[in-house]
Amino acid sequence: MRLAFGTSSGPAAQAMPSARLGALALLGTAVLVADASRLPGSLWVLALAGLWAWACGFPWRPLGTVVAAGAVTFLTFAATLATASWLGLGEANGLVQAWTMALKGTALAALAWATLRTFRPGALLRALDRLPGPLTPILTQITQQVLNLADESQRITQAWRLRGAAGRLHLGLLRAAPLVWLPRVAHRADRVAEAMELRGMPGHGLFRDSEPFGKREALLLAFALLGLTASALLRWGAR
Amino acid sequence: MKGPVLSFQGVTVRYEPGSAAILRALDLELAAGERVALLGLNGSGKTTLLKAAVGLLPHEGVILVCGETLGHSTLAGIRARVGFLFNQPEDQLLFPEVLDDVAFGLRRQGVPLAEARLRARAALAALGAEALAGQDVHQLSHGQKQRVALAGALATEPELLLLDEPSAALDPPGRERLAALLRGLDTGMLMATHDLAFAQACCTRMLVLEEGRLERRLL
Repeated sequence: MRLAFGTSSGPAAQAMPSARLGALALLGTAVLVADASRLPGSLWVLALAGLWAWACGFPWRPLGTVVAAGAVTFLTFAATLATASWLGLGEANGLVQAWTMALKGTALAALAWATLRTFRPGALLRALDRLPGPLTPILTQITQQVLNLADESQRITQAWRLRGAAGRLHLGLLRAAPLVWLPRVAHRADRVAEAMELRGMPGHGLFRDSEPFGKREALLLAFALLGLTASALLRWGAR
Repeated sequence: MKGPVLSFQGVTVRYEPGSAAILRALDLELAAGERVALLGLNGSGKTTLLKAAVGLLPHEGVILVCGETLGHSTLAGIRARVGFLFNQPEDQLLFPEVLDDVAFGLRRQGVPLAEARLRARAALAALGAEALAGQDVHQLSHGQKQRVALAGALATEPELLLLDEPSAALDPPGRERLAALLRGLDTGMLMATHDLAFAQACCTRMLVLEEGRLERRLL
């Protein structure tokens, strides 16, 4: 599965990056808060994920992949809970718990993936760097270095293929992989730490100039806030 | 400034206490405005010497940088006066956007954002890389990353430049441009390189490092 950075272009993708990340955080909270053990709550979670996927211009085929991946990921857990419940070993509502977890996990994955697809890697890093908070420089560096490592891993894979590792399984190569890759990661981390020390990082906020906050951003955040409020009302308002 | 911009007096560097010395009782002096190439085989200690000069490695002996003795209390001040190029440029590019990365050193010095960006553009232009200003660091080629890292080191107009393989990833026009640029600076400069032609084009003196000692002096 490819993340396909920067390929989606729905209405939400036009909003400024930090507004998109803010909306993602609010909608993620809305999904977590929603009471998916009841039908209205489940439908609400599905509606939120679907609406956000549409707003981000998330194509239907990858959305289907997310749903399938979510189902597979949570299936084992759900099946275990359901079986325990049926055998009378777990809680009586084990099946409902399993459904809730599978639905919320898949919805969160869809929200995150749909949002990430609206960013080019640089735009994502800039958005992270401009968010307030003491940990964001570290988060930015982690993201930046993960992208560099992804590039490096791709180069290693290409080199392996060129050296004859394509076509069939090479167990020796698989055994060697962590021995090649992990030291590289460790050395890179060392070198980046040296560079950060030398250049006087963290320099958080030095480039946080104002971004245009317009109607689109306001609408996006209002929609996300509304989603969170509705989730809270569906959960606690009904009692 | 008067006096040497960099001075090593009997400097020994080991990666671990008790392990073999990478630099052995090394003496070196670099006058202000002097441009010196440091040559030597792989593993001879060139990168170690450059890193020791900015306190990235522990050392025995005395290191003076810009007239100050390198130590815990002087480290931050010294580093602010030195421009450093790592031999893997992408390790030192810490910002997602080229212009922000080049302007970072200036912002650390308190230069206002607009002026810092102007000066960063000028540093990129001096290396023929002005077109990279708005690009994502992540999407640059190795040579382009090297130019951006160099621009970041030069933008702050440091008193001392320490460059590790500055021409390694540059194309021939890029090398010529960089050599001309470095010749025009009155900054003290120590450059580790295997590129003899480049060293001859921009340095006033060459030193050879062999097994942690300065063995021969060329030029």
